[in-house]
Order: sequence, then structure tokens, then C-alpha cells
Amino acid sequence: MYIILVLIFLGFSGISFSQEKEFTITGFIYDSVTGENLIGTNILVYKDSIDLNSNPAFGSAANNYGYYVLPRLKKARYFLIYRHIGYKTAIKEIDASNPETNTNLNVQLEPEDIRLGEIIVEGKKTDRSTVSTIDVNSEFLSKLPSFSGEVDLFRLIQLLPGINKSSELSNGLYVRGGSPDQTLTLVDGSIVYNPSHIGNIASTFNSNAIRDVKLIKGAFPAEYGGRLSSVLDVKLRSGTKEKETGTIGLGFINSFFSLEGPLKSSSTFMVAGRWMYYDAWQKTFNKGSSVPQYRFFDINGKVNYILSETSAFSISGMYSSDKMYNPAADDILYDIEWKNINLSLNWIQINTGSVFLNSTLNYINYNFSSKIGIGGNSVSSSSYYSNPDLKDITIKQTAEIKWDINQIFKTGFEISFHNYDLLYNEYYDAGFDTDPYAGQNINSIENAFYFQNESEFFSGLKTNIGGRIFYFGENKYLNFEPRFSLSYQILDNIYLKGAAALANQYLHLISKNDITLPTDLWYPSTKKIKPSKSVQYVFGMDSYFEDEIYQASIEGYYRDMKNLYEYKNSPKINALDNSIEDQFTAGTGEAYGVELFVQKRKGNFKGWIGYTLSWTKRKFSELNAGKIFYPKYDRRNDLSVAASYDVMDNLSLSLTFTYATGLRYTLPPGQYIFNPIGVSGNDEILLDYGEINASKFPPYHRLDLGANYNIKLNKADINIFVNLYNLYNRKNAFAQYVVYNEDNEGNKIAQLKRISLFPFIPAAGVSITF
Amino acid sequence: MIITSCENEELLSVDSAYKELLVVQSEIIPGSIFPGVRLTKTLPLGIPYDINLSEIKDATIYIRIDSIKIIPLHYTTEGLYLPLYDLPVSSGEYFELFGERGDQTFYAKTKIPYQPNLENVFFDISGFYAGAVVNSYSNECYAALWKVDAGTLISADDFFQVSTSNGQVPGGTVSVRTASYPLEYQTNIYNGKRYIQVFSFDESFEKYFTTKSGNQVINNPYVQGTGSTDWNVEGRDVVGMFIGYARSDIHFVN
Repeated sequence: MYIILVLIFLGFSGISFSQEKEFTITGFIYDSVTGENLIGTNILVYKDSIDLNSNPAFGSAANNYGYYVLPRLKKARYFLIYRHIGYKTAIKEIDASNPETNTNLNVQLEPEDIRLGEIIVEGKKTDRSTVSTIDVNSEFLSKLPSFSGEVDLFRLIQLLPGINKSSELSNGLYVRGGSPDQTLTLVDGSIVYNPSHIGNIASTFNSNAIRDVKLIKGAFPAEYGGRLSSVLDVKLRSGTKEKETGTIGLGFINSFFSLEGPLKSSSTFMVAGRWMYYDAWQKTFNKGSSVPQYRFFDINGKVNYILSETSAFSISGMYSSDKMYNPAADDILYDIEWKNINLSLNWIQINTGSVFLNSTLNYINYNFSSKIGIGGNSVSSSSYYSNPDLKDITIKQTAEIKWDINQIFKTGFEISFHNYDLLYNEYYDAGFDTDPYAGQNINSIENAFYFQNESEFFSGLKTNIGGRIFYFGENKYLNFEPRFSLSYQILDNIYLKGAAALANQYLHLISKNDITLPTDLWYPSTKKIKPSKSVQYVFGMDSYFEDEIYQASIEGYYRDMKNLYEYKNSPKINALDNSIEDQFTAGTGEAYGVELFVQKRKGNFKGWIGYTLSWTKRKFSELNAGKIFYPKYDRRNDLSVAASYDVMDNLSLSLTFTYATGLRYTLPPGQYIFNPIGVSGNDEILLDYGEINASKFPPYHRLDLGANYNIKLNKADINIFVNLYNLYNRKNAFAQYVVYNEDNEGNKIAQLKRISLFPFIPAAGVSITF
Repeated sequence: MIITSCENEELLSVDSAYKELLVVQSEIIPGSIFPGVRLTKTLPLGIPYDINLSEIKDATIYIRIDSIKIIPLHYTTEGLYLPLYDLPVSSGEYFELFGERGDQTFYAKTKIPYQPNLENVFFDISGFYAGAVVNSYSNECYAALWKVDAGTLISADDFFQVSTSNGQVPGGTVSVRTASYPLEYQTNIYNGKRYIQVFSFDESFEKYFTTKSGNQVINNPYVQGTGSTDWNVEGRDVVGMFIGYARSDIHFVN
């Protein structure tokens, strides 16, 4: 089957092989100082001579491991230009007029201070073909203002168009109307179930440990699967080969460190960790606060061994632990904790020059404990307890074959063994933790096989056509997911793009509509719980001008979703029976919108403006009387600005500004008395909540400013940062809800109350790199 | 590092959100006298609830029984509309409600169910709940409350679930169960003191039951209402239940 599919695919391209003697150039591209592989480096190939005003003969790009292949070259003299933003351009000459064998050409690029004016070789072959994909620039990221002093990936990502901002206490990414579980988050190929700390103030990836981040907002290619909406693919750094270096940052609410260096000549290591201890600060200095108490710890590490010129092995790991609990001043008791453990063994091999193999073994453990309304055995409408413990072991094998200069074939399979130990109840009781009959234990197997071919045709037409076959669990769900994308260069720097994809998701994050605190319960597809499905379409246009200093793009999308699951209203959740599936309700969803993005990519002043106009809808027969409603994070308008300015070589200023339509919520427009039917009792004053999420908070907007100043002291680089969070002290609503107060005569009065969490917060700190 | 934090709380005016709705309530029990219909209206938030402000005095209301007998209702006090004479209610009857106030009209129909006839009752030791098997009738649904003798008879404050006879042939049976007994009543000292009572309702109760919790006053920034209740009174800007129900005797389970 596997071979047949490969052959079919090779045949599909319709490109015949030449009989002339040919050879292949391959190699890795490294940072000359740290030895890190440089992902996405562009290689422009000129034949006989270089003329930058003309198109190169062809081009290529380094893959996710910094590896490149130039296959099936004819006898000639070639000039290879290696270009990567932030590095000096390298030019290599290959005299292949009479080649005997394939050539291995590893290239080291020298970093440069890009503020001094980049040497930019404007390759006409630069890859602009990917749809809905953004490669995050970590250098730009490091300069933006932050809440804690350390800029984080998720804070940057939320400034991109198409990424919705949810509540200040929610976490995860809401991409193009999808809920957080619909984003596939990978760290070195290993799935992270919960990739963020609370409120997305930080992701679970330490920014010091990140080498490369790719965000695909929709219609992702066949090499990714298992989620409905989007992909966040993070690669960790391997550590520098140069010398041991480290960074330490200390603050009142958080601290961080990183350490990296060579182990031996052929191996490197990297470890980075962070602590946030806002709860300790709050207990000491702000006892009357109603902001949840919170702390987290995370650590990322990686060891990389170069086994030979064609083989490398790495071990990477990640651990994160979060705890959020009620402040002393709060009447509502809650205690929410979550932990991620990810271990990944990765072995890359290069066979016969143009075949790149990647073998991966992953272990994942994710635990999320949500205890809300703790307080003995009494059950209130807001009591809730869930404690899912997820364990996965995944084996993955991928192959990447650059079989022609304009053709890359990718294929692979993965097998995952899932174990879900699910504990839940209407309220928390310590007895459940040890009760062997409480909750459910579910095992399932997930298999996937994919193939895709990335082709470049004449006249700037590029396609990525592929498919993914899925098999899941004891209920034998078998699905085929076709994926297709294309780009067409209609003018010199204008590209039209389009994509369509079908995706299935077999793991569901079931959330409670009525609780805004995190209540994650992952639940697999079973006989009753069908796989979620989505069909999505993307169409857009990219343009680059002024020597590609500026980029402007517009993209529209539409996504249709089926078999989405949520809790019913008033679910009866009992730890001692297995009826929880009866408490879920299935529905459908729809999301569509338009995104505009204008970016200045180079120079002392860099930044972007992103705007999204979007709609997100849900329909469940057992929610909102079966009528369509908007989820909380449906924000009609969303505008983000991010900019940095290098005032001097060692001083930069930055700002971020966000404006978004307010979050949706359910506002009761009136009060009335009613006697509970069938239950003898007194009249109760109730609220008419009307339709779900029919009202909106006031618009959310916030301006943050930051400044970074670097000085060199002996051998240490010292970074001093100042951040002004929420500069004009906008009281953005976190919650609006009804409370009862008493008037002077002792009458209870129902009133609407608004809480804002994060006011103007000035912060400063120091980090030292040695 | 310098950091300050003083989260903000403020009370809001919600006048613009107020929307007046009529609220209808009537629970009709076989073997007793028709209790009348209470008609009130919603009041805006920000004022104390006052029945004198919310009662509706100027509506025209009548009921029709089994499509034959038409009985006008008259305002008495606190929004309550009653017939001029006592009206006994019997199982199996169908009551219809017709109302009009200004340009608003409303209508509801309910079956007066039969008293639940239990085939058997049981106690589930693993889930610590009580259950029963009930002979079912068309257009009815069923629910149950646990009870426990703790000196006085304590009762669950709500039903666990509603069971219907949908799709079953008349004369079939339906299983119902209570919520689990609270932990304090699961101990051995309450063995021999646990009971069940089963209720039969007009079938419209099922939708009401599954949606009603969204109407609670929540008083919690982390929780919100879950939307409108599925009422059985029809009409523009009208909510409420006009419903018949019956109770079984209280049965010992464990």
C-alpha cells in the first residue's frame, strides 16, 4: 500500500527522468558561532555566473533541520548563494563540469548585527508559497514589552491577525474561531496538550530555548494532523558549540535562567528554566487582592549528538507545572493545577544524498486538576471537579525526498498509544483520589499515515498536494483527509494563494460553558463520541515591495466544523458511574473572516499592523434552546500593532497596542420570581439570562511600552529592561456578573458588577548573559 | 523590579439591557383544586424585587379543559388569577391557557399526568442513589427525589434527571433515578432510612429541567448563566410554565 501510494504520487507529477549524468549537492547550514542548524535558509543557484538582477536558475530552502538538497544537477559551474536574515550572505562556487560523485557541502553562516544594515540578496526564488503560515522572528520577539520582563512566544502570537484573545485568565490559542484544543502544538515533534501558562502571559516554552516557531493558522499540509484548526510547530535549540554560556534573570515575581554549551566536540546541551511566584508576592504585598494566586515552573532541555556526517541524535525534554488558587479575600474556593511532561528521542539520518529520515519516540504525560467550589460535600451550581491524567507513547517515522529540484515528497507514519485516566465529579472529595472505582480508564490507539508532494511548476505555480489516513481506537474510525494548497506568482512580488483541507480530531477538550476558570477535560472519541471534523478553505494574496522591506497580505478563510462537544446545561457528573458521555452534547461550528497584515521586516524600525474581521458561531441542540450562539471569544474586530525601534546599537524601544471587540457574555436583562417546579419550596428570585453570550464587554484595548538597554561588563552581557504594562490604565473587563447587595433598608438588590484584573503595571529588571 | 497591582471593581448601570417579559406560573396537581395562574413581569436589575411592582393586574386570562370547558380567571392579589369557584383537577385532563395583555398574547397547554405507578424500587449501592421503574403514559415524563429520615424527612432539593417514554409503546416502563445521596447520608447509620418519591410531569418538563439552571443568581465572577430556559408558555416576550404534575407515595429503598 505504502509503495503503491508513493508510486502513484511520483507518477502524478508527470515529470520524466533524464538519462544525462546528474549529481546532487546536499549539506547542513549552521550558525558559525553556535553551531545551531539554520532552518529555512534560502539557497539560490546561479549557473555559470551571478547576476542578481536576473532570476537564479533555481532555488531551494533548508528544511526543519537546516538540511538542504539540490538534486539532479547537470554538468555546469554553479554559484550557490546562502541567505538567512540576521546572517552574512555566503557564496559558494561549485565547478561541476565533470562531477564524479554527489557533493556534500556543509555551510556555516556568520551572524551579523542586522541593525547595521543587512546585506540582503533579494532572491527572486524566496519561498512565498506557504498558506496561512507565519515564521516567528525571535529577534523581534525579544524586544517587545512584556508583563513579567521576559517576552514570550504566546504574547507575540496573540498579536497576529487571526489569533483571538480570550479572557485574561484563559490559556491556549484561539486560532480562527477554533478552541484551544483544535491547535496542534508540537515541541520537537512531541504534542503538548496545554502549551501555555495562565492568561497566556507565557507559553510553556522558555523563549531562551526556542530555535524556530512555525504557526500555520489553517488548512495545514498532510504532514500535520489530529487537530481541526491550526498548528504551532516549535523547535528547541540544541545549544551552542562555541563555549558554555548562560543567562540569569531575577525579578520580584519571576526569574529565569538558561545554560548551554558543548559537551564534547560532537555534542551540545541546552537547559532553560523559569519560575513565576506571583502568589508569594501577592500574599506579602497585596493581601486584599481578588486576583487569583498563581505560580508556575517550567524547564526545557536538549542534548544533541552528531553521530556522523549523515546522522544525528537528540534527546529533548520539557516539564511544566502551574498552580492557580483563590486569594484569601475571595469567597469562591478553587484550586487548579496542571503539569506537562514531554520526552522526545529524535534520530535523523540522511540516505543516498536526497532522502532525509527522521525517527522519533515520544512520551507525554499531561495532568489537569480542576477543583472549583471546594468545601466538603455541598454541591453548588458552580462546584466542579475534574482530574484527567493523559499518557501517550508515540512512534513516528518520516521521510523527506527531494527527488527533483522542484519536487519534494514527504511521507511518514505515526502510532500513538493513549491512556486516559479520567476522574470527575460534581464536587471534589479527597476520597476520589484513591477510589479505584472512581472515574474511567480508557485506552486507545491512533495510527496515521501521510504523504504529500510539494511541486513547483512553470510561471511561479507551486502546489502542495497530499493526504492523511487516520485510524483511531477500538471503534475503528478510519478516515482519509485530502489536503491541497497552491500559490501563484501573478506579478513580480505578488502571490495568490489558496488552500483546502479536511481534518479530523479524535480527542476532545470538553469545557463547561458556565465556568470561566479552566476546566479542561480531554476525552477521546468512543462509540458515542464521534470524531470532530472540519473542512476549511483559505484564499489570499501576499505582496512584497521596497526590496521586500515591506510585506502586505490579505487572507480570507472559512471553516465548517461538526461533532464539537460541550457539557450540557446542568450536567450531572458522577465519579462513580460511567455516564459522563451522557452529559456531553454534540454541536456544529462555523468560523469565517478576513485578515489584513502589513509588516516592515527590516531596518532599525520594525513591526506590523494586523487586523481581523471575523465571525465564530456554534450550534448545539441542547444549548441555547438549539439556536446559534457566539462563543465568548468571538471578537468581531481585532487590531494589533507591534513595533520596535533601535535607537542605538545597545538601546531599543518597543510598543504593542491591542484593540478588540469585547468578549461575549450572558447578561441577564431582568429579574423575576419563580417557584421551582415539582419541588416544594419558596419563590426564588431568578435572572432571565436570555440567550447565551448575547452581550459584550466593552472593547478591550491596551498599550504597553518597553525599553531594553544592553551593556557589556567584563565578559558578561547585561540587559536592563523597563516595561510599562497597560500604560493608560485601561480597566478592561475580566468579568461582569450579577451580585446581590443590600440597601439601607436591608433589601437585596441585584446589581451588575465588573472586575478588571491588570491595571497599569510598571516593571523593571536585569538579565545577565555570561 | 517595581510592581503595583490594584484590580478594580465597579457596579454598573444596566438600564439599557432591561427588557420587560411577562412571567407565567401555574403547577396543576391531580386530586387537588386548580391553583390559579400567577402573572408577573420581570424587573430591571439594580432595584429590590417587589411583587407590588412586578404583579400584572390588567390581563385577560381563561383556561380551557379538554377543549370543551372554558373558565375565565380573575385577578385576586399579587398577580394571582383564579376562577370564581373551586375547580377540581383530574389526571388525564388537558388544560389550555389563553392570555392577553395589551398587544401581547400567550398560550400554553399541558396534560395532567397520572400518579406514578411504580413497578419496583431499588437502591444502587455503588452509586449510592435510589431508582424506580415506572409504568409510563404518553405525553408524560418522570423524575425522582431521594429522601432520608434524619429525624425529619430530608429531601433532595432537585431532580437528577428526567426520563421519558419517548418511542416506547404505551403501557411500557421507564427507569428513573435520584441524584446520589450526599456523603453524609451514605454512612451505615442511615441504612433503613432512605426513601424515594417519583414524580410524573407533562412532557414539557424535560426541556425546562435541562435548561433551567442557567437562571440561577450566580454571584461569582467565574461563572455565568447558560442561557434561556425552555419554557412551555408561548408568546412574544413571555416566559413561564403552565404544567401539570403528580407525585407518587414515598417508598422505602434502603
